[in-house]
Amino acid sequence: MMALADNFLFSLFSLSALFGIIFLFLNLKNRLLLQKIAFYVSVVIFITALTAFCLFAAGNHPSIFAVSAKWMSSLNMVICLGADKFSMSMILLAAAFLPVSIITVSHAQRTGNAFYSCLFFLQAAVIGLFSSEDLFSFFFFWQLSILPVLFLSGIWGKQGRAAAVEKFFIVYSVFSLLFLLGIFGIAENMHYLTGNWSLVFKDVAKAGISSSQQIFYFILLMPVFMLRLAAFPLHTWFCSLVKENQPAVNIFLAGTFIPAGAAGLVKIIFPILPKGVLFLSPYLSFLFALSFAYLALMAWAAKSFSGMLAYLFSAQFSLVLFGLFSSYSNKMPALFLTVAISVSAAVLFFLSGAIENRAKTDIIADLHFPFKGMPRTSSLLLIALLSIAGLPCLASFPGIYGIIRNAFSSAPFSAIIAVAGVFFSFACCFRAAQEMLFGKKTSAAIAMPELKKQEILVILPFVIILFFLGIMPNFSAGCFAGGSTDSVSREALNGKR
Amino acid sequence: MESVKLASAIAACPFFLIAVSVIFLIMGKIKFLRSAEGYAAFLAVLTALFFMRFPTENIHLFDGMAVISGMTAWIWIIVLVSLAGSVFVSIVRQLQHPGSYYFLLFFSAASAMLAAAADNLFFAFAASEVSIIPLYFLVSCRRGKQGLHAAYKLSVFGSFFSAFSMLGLAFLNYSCPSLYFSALSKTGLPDGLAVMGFLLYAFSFSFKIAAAPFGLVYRDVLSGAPGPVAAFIASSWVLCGLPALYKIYSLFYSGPVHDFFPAMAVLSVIAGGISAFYGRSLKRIAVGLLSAGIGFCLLAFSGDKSGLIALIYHLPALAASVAGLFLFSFYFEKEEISLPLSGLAGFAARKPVIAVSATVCLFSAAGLPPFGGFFAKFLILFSLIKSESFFLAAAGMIGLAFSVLCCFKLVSVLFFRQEQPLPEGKAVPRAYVPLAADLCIIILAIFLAAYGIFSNYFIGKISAML
Repeated sequence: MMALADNFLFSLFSLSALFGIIFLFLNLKNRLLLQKIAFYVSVVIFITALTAFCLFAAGNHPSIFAVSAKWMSSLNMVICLGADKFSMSMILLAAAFLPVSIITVSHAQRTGNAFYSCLFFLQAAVIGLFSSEDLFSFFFFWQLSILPVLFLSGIWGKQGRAAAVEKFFIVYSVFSLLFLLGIFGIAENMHYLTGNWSLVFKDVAKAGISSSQQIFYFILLMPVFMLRLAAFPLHTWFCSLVKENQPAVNIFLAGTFIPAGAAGLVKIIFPILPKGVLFLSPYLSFLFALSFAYLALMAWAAKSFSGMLAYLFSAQFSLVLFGLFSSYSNKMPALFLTVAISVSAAVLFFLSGAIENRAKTDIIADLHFPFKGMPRTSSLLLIALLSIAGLPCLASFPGIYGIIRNAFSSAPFSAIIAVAGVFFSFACCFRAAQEMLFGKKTSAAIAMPELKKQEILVILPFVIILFFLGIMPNFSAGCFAGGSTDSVSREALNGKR
Repeated sequence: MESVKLASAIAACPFFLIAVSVIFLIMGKIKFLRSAEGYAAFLAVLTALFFMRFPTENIHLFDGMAVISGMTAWIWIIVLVSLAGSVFVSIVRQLQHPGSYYFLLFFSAASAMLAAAADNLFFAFAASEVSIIPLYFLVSCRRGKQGLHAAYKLSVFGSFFSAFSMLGLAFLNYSCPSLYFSALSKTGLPDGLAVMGFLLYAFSFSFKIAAAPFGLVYRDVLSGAPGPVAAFIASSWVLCGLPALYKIYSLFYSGPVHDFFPAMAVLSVIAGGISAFYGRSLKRIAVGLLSAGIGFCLLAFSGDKSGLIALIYHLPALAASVAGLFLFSFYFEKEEISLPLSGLAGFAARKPVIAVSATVCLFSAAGLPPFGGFFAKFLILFSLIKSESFFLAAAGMIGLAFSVLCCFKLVSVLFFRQEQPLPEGKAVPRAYVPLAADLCIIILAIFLAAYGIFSNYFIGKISAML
């Protein structure tokens, strides 16, 4: 256990969890003071995470990021934590989103210490999830991350939250059982083949599970990750939850909670079940392309801003899945897009919160903030919308372009459908921008004040990152490339031979 | 010399409780001592706990009919802690006959402890019978309609299953002159009559440990019992029958007796989960979760050697979570009237700390991370996979799903719903809940969190103990 204490990632997780516990008991009546304390604490965590990221990028101290500690030694179980570049980027983003989430909280929403406590616990669980390198800890953090979302949505959500939370929890409980079943199945296979019960990803990947069993486990586990990534037809929980959640929660939900599904795919599905991926990827890439187009179309038709964002992000995550399965030998564009979506989610849900707090509505037709009157809000919103739609020089473009370019060589028909999805996404974003920024002011439209300076200050770094990712894709891709094993591509090559 | 001292201290524990219980009976007769009885009882349990240790080697009592092993000491500690909690909560309650109350409680606990140590089938039977008799009176000590009904039900079912035990013992004694487990393990494969005896015996014990289907009778029994008594029965008394059942299971490698336990386990896990999910009051939900938890204990029998470690690890988690839920039910009953689940709405806004603590107990009972119940259930399921009992693992997971859904049902009422006034005539005045109960719930929640987070440490201790 001492080895765990020396690990930077474990320390980061412990720090978040510790603040979660502290905030649970920090019952201050002055909400503004509570929010300020939470904000500064989250900044401390972010600085720690940034230090960790810099150390990791420099590659000077690899031992503080990877640990394999015996846990319950009498039962021969091992906890393995580690980070690849993608996980490290997501951990950094998880740390960066917390201050943004906290500043989005409106005082009218009756949030107290328990709200911030849940946010810290969610951050801790997500950090743990991204740094897990064995099936047990991955499942543990997976389950752990569900509980704060349950409370955040159930207690502080909007009017219709009960049904949304119920759907979320029931669906997750059922799929968690599938996950558990998959883990036990893989463990049993591992023991049958190698004689040990290790659940460490690397060990399991080397075990050589037979093709038919890989396909079986793939069928068992894939829906679990599809659910997390809100892919069609398992997207409904996300869409209903986003509509009922506070923007502060949505930033975390779309920014880090959902991308954890991509981490699961890269860490578990691709390295451990490559034959399952090879066998089912043509069908899945078609399904995900279709899912992308359908969800983008739904976003286009959405009336509320949060509803539109929910469908739009579901669509984008379907595109990530499409990218992963249509060209499994090159996962870079999909991982790039995941990071881009996360950053866009922070900006868009932050703005959505700011708009909702001011206008008290999120119906697109009733929102009106022209360039002339509100240049800062309008510009930021336009940049974020265009970024998520895939405009060149902005964050999502390199990812979308890379995915579709690769897909044309491996799955051309699905690629055409995905292109249609890109068109729908563009149409959706342009419609929203046109109605809110350039449309005529309706009678129901409410005059809104401009974003405050401190709000701009918080969100500006993310907007800069959006440009940075778009303008310097090669450099930024280097920050989160690698990490995933290339066993699928090896399998593909073996198949061709 | 040191080991002799240690052995004497451990072995003296149940006898000390019996001796103290007799003193309480005498104290009850002296008017000015009555008010001090609760404190004296609490002090007595703490003293017993202070002298409790894990034995370095097995301690034999009553000519080897009872053996105190590491597992026995583990269960004894659970019983003592549970007893301490029950006494602590009972101190502030206006008891009509405190002397009799503490006498019965201590006597039942001491006998249950001896039943947990039994290494002889007859001794296990006798000790468990002696321990159940005080419960008939304790359950009905409020003398209300529901309490009397609960005691009546417990006595009818208790007698019915005692008859089964007796019949089983008679069959067994006919085939095997010695009823010591050590002697039984040497007799080889028993004949048909002995198998029948074992089955009858195990069947009757499954009632005592609250395994489904008959164990679900406890839904009515514990609903009618006063909170501290219900918490004591659910969190420790029912667990005392498990070692005897485990020893019976260990005698067989195949055959009907060997298959009886997995069947009972599957039934308990699933029926307990369903019963919890459809439970109309908090106590009924707690009994459902208890039954499901006992089912998990029985499932652990079929696991590999790590199953026993997981089983022992599971016991405190189960005891603490169920005790927490029963203490929490104090808030939702006045005298013997329990509020329906809708009465819990908005509780979190009124008492956030208690609500969070109760939720921790609930999460642990349902097997959600990061609490003790999660690790225990995961380890039990993993031990089943290791022993290739896939069907049992699948059944365990189905039971787990029901428990988790039940957990959500309660959490959504506690945290997500606003308090609504009950219709005229249905409103139950808010119960007076002693501070001791609040304290106990909070301590149990902290324990469950620590038990989960430091599971590594506890598992290490258990492994060393075995």
